[in-house]
Amino acid sequence: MKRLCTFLIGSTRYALPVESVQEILRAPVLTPVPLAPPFVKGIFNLRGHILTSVDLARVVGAVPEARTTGGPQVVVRHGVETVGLAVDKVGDVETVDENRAATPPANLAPAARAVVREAHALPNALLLELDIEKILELA
Amino acid sequence: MSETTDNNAEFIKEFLIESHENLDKIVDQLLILEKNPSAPAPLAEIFRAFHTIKGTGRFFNLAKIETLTHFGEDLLSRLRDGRLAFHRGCAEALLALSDGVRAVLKSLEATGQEGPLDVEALVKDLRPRAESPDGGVPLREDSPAETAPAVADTTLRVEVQVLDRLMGQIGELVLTRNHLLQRAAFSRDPAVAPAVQRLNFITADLQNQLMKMRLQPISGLWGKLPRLVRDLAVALGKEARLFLEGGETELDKSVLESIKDPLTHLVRNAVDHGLEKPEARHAAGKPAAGEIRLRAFHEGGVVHMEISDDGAGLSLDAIRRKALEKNLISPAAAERLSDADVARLVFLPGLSTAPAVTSLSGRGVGLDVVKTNVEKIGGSVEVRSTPGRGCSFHLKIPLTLAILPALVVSSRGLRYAVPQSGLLELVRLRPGAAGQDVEWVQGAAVFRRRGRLLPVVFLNKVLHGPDNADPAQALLVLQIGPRRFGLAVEHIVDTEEIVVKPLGRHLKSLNLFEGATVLGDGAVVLILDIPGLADHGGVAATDPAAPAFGDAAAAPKPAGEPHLLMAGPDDGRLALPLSRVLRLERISLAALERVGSEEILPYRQGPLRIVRLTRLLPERRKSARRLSPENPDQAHVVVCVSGGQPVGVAVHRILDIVDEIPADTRPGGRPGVRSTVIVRGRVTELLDLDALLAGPAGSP
Repeated sequence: MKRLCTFLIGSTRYALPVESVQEILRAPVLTPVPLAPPFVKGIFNLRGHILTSVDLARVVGAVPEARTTGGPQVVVRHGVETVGLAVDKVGDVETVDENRAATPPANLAPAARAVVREAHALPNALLLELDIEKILELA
Repeated sequence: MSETTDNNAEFIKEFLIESHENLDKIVDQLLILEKNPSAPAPLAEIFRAFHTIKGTGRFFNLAKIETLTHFGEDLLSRLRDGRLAFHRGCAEALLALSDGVRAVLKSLEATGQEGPLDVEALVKDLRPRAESPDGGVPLREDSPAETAPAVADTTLRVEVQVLDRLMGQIGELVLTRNHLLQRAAFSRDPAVAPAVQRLNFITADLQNQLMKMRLQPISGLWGKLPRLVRDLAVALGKEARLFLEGGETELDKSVLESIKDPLTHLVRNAVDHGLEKPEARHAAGKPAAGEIRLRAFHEGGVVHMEISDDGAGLSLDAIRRKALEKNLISPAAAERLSDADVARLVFLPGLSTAPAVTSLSGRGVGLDVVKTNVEKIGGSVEVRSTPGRGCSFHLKIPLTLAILPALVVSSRGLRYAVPQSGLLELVRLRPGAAGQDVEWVQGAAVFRRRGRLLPVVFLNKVLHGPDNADPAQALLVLQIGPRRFGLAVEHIVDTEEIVVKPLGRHLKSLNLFEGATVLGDGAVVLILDIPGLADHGGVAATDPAAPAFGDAAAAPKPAGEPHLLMAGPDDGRLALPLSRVLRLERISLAALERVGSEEILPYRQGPLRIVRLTRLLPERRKSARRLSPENPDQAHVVVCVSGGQPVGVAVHRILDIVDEIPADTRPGGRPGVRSTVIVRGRVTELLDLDALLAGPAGSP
């Protein structure tokens, strides 16, 4: 069994293992970065460290919500790298059975397929677990 | 030279510390070895420790140390090879030996001599004891050295990473203080301002202390040079003598690291291209051995370093020819260039390509790289050459890299920080009509600056794409390597000390930003990368329309040097040579502290004496039109150098920089004033800074 931290992009539920989530910020002020790749929403200050906010909606090919504040940021750490993932809404922590994980649905948008590791069927919804390494490798 | 002895003293101190550590290691390992005589690791460790002490001891000609450690090594090699079995006597002999070394070290520290210990006798005593399990006489009870001497007790080795982390945290503290300083101005609580002020002082002090901790003498960097010069001279069939002066000058460790290569390069160049062969020197009436001098000193918050040789000097004709050949300058410019301008051409990248080296009898091997590297850390390099007499390079290097002064500018409502190291000057563009100042030549924007055309890069355009009505109001004249350009920005917001923070991996490929920082108000802003901006703006190093050096001579030479124009308290006009000005600051008068009759401002590199022009030059007109200052709590301070010390001169207002100071002057009418001239229709007093500060009011 493993525990996943879930969040919403539009109406789709995505998730990451709780171990890779360092913390969740409600709405830090973002500084836009001109000429940055489109999936970079901006940068923000987390206790003296400058983190990049990756716009998850753009990464998975959804239409990003237009808003000026950053919205919630899921701060994930992988190795030495720490980034913020801009999401629409943060959900609950769910416990899933990793033995019953499924491959991502075939009709998933190609952009999303590239970063989704596997799918978990919950009684009332489908959870798409993200592959944090793939997100960090974006360029 | 006395310098060598100074350096030696420094090296001996290091040797003492290192040797005490090695001796401690020997004792530890011996104790391990006693418990487990067959273990090879401790044996090797002990051997290595003795070997290190011996090597350095021999370097300093310490015969006694050498005798003792040699015996130790000998014993250990026999133990290692199995020619001798380890027994208690060995351990005792080795322990007594390390005590002997300690005694010599102690004497060395106290008196500079190896002391009275009879090492031959000691070795003779110890040998039989070590060589057979029951041989020799028992050890003498008065075996020397019981306590480790002072030098090892008063110093502490700290890992650089620990200091780096500490520096990072102090950087945070500086940012937090900046934030508080801004907020405190709005606080109604009277207790807040003094508390914040105190925090301010403590932070500045901490920053200073830590910076000092990271400082290391430049002699550490110079240590390898004598060998380098010697080997190179031998290989080239030349004779060279190296003189080092000011090795005790200190620099931040990371700065030292980053000037290592440029320095080595310049010294190599001096031997390789600077010095002539003995025959040629002889023919020129110079001694056969060439001289290479390195001089370092501290002045005005930066470290100056000179690398000079007494060789033939730069071959200016060859450089001029080469630059023409390579199309780096126009034929007309080549005619007009002064010798100093030609010498400066050696920093152009085109001159340093490989084929140029062979045909050029002067220098030019990668000097552009030297310049770029030095400028990358906010330093500068200049060259001076006298034909037949030699050539010298003058480096100015910042003390530290961790916290740097920056200018905050804005574009489309967002703020950006520009490091001040590459900043030459600020120009206010006339509002509304950029066309008045900035001209367009075949689609390229240029700015006329003292008769020279400067390519202009619009920050808005680089960051957000073309915009017809660019609301740029200010122009930053920036220089990086051979490239000089103007950066047009909407507004200049402020100056602030910033801490460079790295950007995440997704933004690493953007060469436009050097990093980000957190401003006093808590906002995160990006730090612009000046070379990256030049690339984006398409500024070429040697654009014929705006050569870095070539057409400088075409401009009418301004009469005299540029001056800073200021207003005194009664709106009188005053001017000061710009070369004497380090920087301009706006300070809060509340931050001034009185010490005796002096006013002191806690400043970057320590206390800064502030003198008020009002005190030095009392009102000069009876009917003075008193100006009420815009903000009574603030003062403009011109930080200048006088007698090698920075001094802050508080003035009423800073007006402008003027290039042309008329030649026809009238001698000054009062002490501290060199002369009186008319600038822009106003009577202006040219200040004599040294006289002013040395006068009765200047030094109370």
